[in-house]
Formats: sequence, C-alpha cells, structure tokens
Amino acid sequence: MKKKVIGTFLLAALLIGVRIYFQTSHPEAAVRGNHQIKSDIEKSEPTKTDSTVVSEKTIPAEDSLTSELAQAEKNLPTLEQAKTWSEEEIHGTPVAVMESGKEIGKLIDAAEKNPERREPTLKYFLKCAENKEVLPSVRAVCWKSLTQNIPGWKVFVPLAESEVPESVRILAGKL
Amino acid sequence: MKKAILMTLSLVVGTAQASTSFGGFEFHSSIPQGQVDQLVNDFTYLYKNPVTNPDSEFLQTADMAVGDGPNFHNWLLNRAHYIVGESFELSAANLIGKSFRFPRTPLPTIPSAPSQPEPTPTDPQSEKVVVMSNIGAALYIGGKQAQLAIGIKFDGQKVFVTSPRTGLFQVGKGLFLERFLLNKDPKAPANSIFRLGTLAHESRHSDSNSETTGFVHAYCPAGHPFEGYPACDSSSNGPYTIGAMSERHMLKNCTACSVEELKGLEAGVADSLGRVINPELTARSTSLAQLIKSNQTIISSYELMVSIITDKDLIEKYQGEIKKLKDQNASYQLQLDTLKVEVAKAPVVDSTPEGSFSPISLEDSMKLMMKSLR
Repeated sequence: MKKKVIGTFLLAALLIGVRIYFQTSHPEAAVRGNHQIKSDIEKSEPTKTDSTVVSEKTIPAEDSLTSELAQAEKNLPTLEQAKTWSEEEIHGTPVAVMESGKEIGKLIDAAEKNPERREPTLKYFLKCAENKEVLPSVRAVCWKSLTQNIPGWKVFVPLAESEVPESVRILAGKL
Repeated sequence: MKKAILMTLSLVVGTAQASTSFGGFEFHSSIPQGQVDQLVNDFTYLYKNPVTNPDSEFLQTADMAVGDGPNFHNWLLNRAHYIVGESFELSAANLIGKSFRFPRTPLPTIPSAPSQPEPTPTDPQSEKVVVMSNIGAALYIGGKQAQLAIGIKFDGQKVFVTSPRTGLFQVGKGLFLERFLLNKDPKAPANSIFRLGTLAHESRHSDSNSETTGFVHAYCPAGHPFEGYPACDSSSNGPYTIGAMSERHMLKNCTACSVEELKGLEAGVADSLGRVINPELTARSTSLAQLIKSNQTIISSYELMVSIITDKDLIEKYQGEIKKLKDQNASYQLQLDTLKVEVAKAPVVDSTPEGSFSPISLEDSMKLMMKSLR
C-alpha cells in the first residue's frame, strides 16, 4: 500500500510538474549571448567617442551592426538544441528562450536610440521569424517585434510574402 | 508554580521551529530567510502595484472578477497557502496520515509517455535544485488512490491534504537563480513578475476535479519542440496558460519594466502558450481577429507613407504591399466567419476544485495582507 501511494505520488508529481532544475546542466546557455552583443551595440552607437574608436579600428559602423546581427542570429535557440535540454529545463521557461527575448529587447532599444539601425534590425526580425530551425516561441517574439515597430519606425519591410507560418503569427498575436 | 508552567511552555515552544507568515502565506522554517524576503517583496509588489490595464482574457480564464492586487493575491492564497523549503523532505519523519472520505470521482488520467525520450546526459557535478512544486496536488492524488489523507508536520501544525486547494507548495533556490534574473536587482519588478508567474502556474495545479484534478500536464505531441516530455497542456485554461496570461497581465501594468525585460518575459509567455496543444477555437478566433487588426495597422501606416512620399518606385512598392495585406485580411476574415460557427463546440475543462477545504474570502485575505504590511 505504502509503495503504491509513493508510486502514484511520484507519477503525479512528474505530471503536475515538479519544477526541479539542474543548476549547471547547461552552463553555456547562461553565459552565452549578451556580453558580445552589448559591447558591439556600444561600439556602434554614433557618439563622438565611438566614431574615434571606429576610425582607429577601421571598422565601419554598418559592418559592426551586420556582424552584431549575425551574432544575434547565431544565438537564437534552435529546435535541435531543445532536444539536448533536460526535462527539468523544459518544464519551465528555458533560460535560452528568455535570453533570446532579452536580446531582442536590447536590439529594439538600440534602434530606438539610433534610427540608422532600424531597417537592418527589422529585417533581422523578419529573418528570425522566418527561420524554421528556431524555436516557435522566439520566432513569435521576433514577428511581434517586427510588426509592432514598423508603424513607429516608418520602415518598409515586405511582409505579405514572408515565409512566416500562421501558427507563429497567431502565437505572436497572443503576446 | 506559574513560573514553572511558563518555563515548561517555553521549552515546548522552543523545541518546535516557528513558521512565519505574510499576507496569509505560511512559510515553513525550512525556507531560508533570504528567499522569504524575496517572496515577501513579490507579494507586496503584486498587492500594491496599480492595475490600470487588466488583461481581460486572463481574468476570464482564471475566473477572476477584478484583476487588481488584492483580488490576484486572494486568487493565489486560495491555491498556495503552506510553503516549505527545498530541504524539507517528504520522509516518514515528516508525513502523517488519517482516514478521510474522498469524493467518489475518478482519479485523474495519468497519460503514458508516447515514446521515451533519450535521457539527457547530465553533468555528474551538476546540482539538482527545486524551482517550485505544488506537492499538495500530487499528495492529494496519491492519497485519494490509497484512500488516506496524507499530511505533513508543518512546524508544529498538522496540515492534511484533503484537497489540492490545501495549497501545499515547495520552493527552492531554483526560483531565485541568477540565470533567471531579468534585471540584476533580484527585487526588480520584472523578476517579481517572473516568480509570480511561476507561482500562478503552480497554483493552477490546485484546481479542477475528477479526471482533470490538478490539471495534470500532457505529453507534448510529435512535431512539438518538447515532443515526448510531459511539458504541455491539453486544455486552454491549464497551468501553462494561466502562468503565461498572469505574466502578460502583470507586464501590461508594469511601468518600471524596460524593453529588454519586457521582451525576456514575453518570450517566456510565448513559450508557455506554445505548449497548449489543443487550444480552444475561441482562442483561434480571437487570434484571427488580432491578425486582421495588426495587418490593418500596417496598411494604415503604409497608406500614410504613400500620401507623403514622392518616389514613384517606392509608392508602387507600398501600394503592392497594401493590396497583398488587404487580400490576406480578406482571407483571415473568411476563416474567422467559418470559425464562429464552431466556437460553441470548443472544449472547456471545469476548474472547480474537489475535496475539502476552506475558501478564503477577499475580505479576509485583504485583512491578512493589511496586517502584514503594517
């Protein structure tokens, strides 16, 4: 009898969602991403100090932004990566998903301050939303960030023929 | 004589560690003080933060009439009441039992795994930590099967789980990990919203009855990113939906949240809502309406651009896009019209709780909170 109770408890606990977490199971996800992006954003801000730095390093701001967005793209969590996450990580919001959202927020913030970044940023959001390898939740945040900022930033992005599935658009609509 | 009695009493009291409480939530002595402080900060934020833009869908799904702090606090308190720490063990030393007449309803259907996922290799040096768990719901189901009300010794109190609404929870350091922080300050509103969203998710496990008692999670189906794991919900008013919508509700009313924090939390909301594998047609209908509205905003914006720019090529591009978006909206509208017929057939899971418990009125929970805030 006692064993039966314990067995049912454990099974129910698993399915009710005992949120247990391996603190160090994916340390790379925790340290990944933001530091490089942040330093690149700082470099590309069109301040007097920055232009000096850029000219010394002979890296045009445009190239810096391109490489920054390329790096951001590499950081997007993929369906393949999700297969390697532990059950404990999966039960709650995976850290990599939250980190991606934060990166998107940083890009919006930087583009708000610097209009030259707006078009490349929105195009990056479209690319992210279209990327079939990326987790749908992150694609939805990209799509929402894209459609949310088009009117205010007044940038043309061809949306009608974009390859963003309805499921992603619908998920974005719920955010 | 009096002195002797007092001394004896103080000895007895001294042997049992004291729990603390805040706003009606009872914290077991096994919870480190730092974690209690953070939870107190979270509950205070929830209670005091003005709600000027409530999320009507959340209120409807959670059966909440008003979305302000006192009502949300009351909603949580009726589902999460006794909280133990990570070091609290469900061992024979802490468990008690008594006979109890459980409702004669079927036990929840515990789904079996469609296929066993490959075990994830775990770093042997990794530390397993608890984030949060509704242990009461699991103990209720286990107890119901054995027809024995299981209880725990809660710092001198005996707490028997006669309903998932007894609200027995466990929190651990996983809830407070640095990697989950959206802001370096652990007490920042965005971090409180994340933790409160987790609490709302777990609180939903205290609801429902019969086969759906505890809103047990479903296995994610083939094609889902978390395929094969019990990390999805088959109802559209379950824990993942409630957790996500509660965060969305709090985000709508967070005036101190940065864009970075907002998008970090929004990604979590998307992740949770993406786990509802059988969404109601109502939700789809709402979503289609939102798509139309979103397209319309873009169309208006493009029409405005056409009226102010002079570049003929660009005007042509805008006009082409406007036409395509209008066509898309016409298609969405057609789907919406079709769906409206089917919406009435959408499945709804009854969230009425089962078992024996004492509901806490709004008036009482407000009194408890006011006393704590004094």
